[in-house]
Amino acid sequence: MVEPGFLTDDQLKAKLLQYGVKAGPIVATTRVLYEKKLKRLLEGSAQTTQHKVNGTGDAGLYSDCEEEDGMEEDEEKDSESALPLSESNSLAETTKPESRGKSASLNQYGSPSQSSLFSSFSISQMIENRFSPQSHRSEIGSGSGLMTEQSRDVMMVEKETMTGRSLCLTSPPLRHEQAHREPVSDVLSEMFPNAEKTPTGIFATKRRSIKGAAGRPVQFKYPEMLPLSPTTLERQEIQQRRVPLWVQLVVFLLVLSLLYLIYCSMDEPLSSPVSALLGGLEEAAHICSSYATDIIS
Amino acid sequence: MSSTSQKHKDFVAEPMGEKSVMALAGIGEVLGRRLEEKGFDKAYVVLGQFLVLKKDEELFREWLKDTSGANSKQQGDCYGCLKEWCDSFL
Repeated sequence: MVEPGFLTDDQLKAKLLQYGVKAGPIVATTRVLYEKKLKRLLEGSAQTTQHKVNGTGDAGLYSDCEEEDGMEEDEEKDSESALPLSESNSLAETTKPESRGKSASLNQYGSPSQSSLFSSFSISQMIENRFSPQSHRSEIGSGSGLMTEQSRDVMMVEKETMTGRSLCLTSPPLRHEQAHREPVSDVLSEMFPNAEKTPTGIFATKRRSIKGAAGRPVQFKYPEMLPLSPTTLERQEIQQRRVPLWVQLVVFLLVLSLLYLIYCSMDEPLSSPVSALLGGLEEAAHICSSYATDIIS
Repeated sequence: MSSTSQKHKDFVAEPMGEKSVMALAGIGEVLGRRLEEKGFDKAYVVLGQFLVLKKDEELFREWLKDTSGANSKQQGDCYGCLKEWCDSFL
């Protein structure tokens, strides 16, 4: 195998191109990165049962696998046969002692267990693979080499049923399935030729915010909890204790009529200072008029 | 789409000029100092690296991680910031 460290810049670039990687200028700062990339590619192709972890061509790093539903019940089956497919992380460790000859035991299982293999390569493992591909990749490769032709059929079925990029499509292909890896990636690139490749494989657009969904204005959402000033609160309290207006009027009229009846029922009119004054005024007028007549006469 | 920070918005709003590398989204004091030690003292130098890597996300993230020890979120923020700046001004 070629050691990337010993290649010239041009050779490195050419090698990367072989793997379909259009490298940019290989300068001092970029050289290391491209060497690492080439290393990953070389190890990836050497073990044909690798995941495609390259960022440029990667499809379903973090996407969901539909077979995950059957994962729990399949784990029981797996434990029965001592097949270490319990958790994704343990897979890397436990498949190490597994020999290639165990492929026979796998034949017993139908597609559900195959799919559990798919699902067991969970997101966390993908993240691990992405950032430390060296150690784990080889282990996973040996584990996934156990899969048989049944999984190939399952994969083809899944390719048709799954619309988006999924983990299962890029999950461990077989050793003799290298030819099928090409159609898997081509279908995706055909479907989405112009799509930007994101590291997570997830495409999301911002949802248009719905106005009024948050319950604005506030007073319509919380009608009983109006923000009121203290004055308004006081006024409301006072209004609760007020006697209604019509009741006040009725009472007033009643009292008036009562007093009038009392006044009428009296034998002699009340002596008020007004009447006394009026009487005095009348007397004065009489006196004046008598004087006047005296003077004239 | 995740929301962008104020730092991101400030950076992509105008040409970067002579802004320090710490003006980049995702790059704080610690990371900024590390980048400066490696010679990337201005934002445009990091931009240069970004462009030399042909704006490739994976390579740039890896470079940033190797050079400054940025975590995944910081890498993403910086990449997004530079990418958007390039879309507007380059």
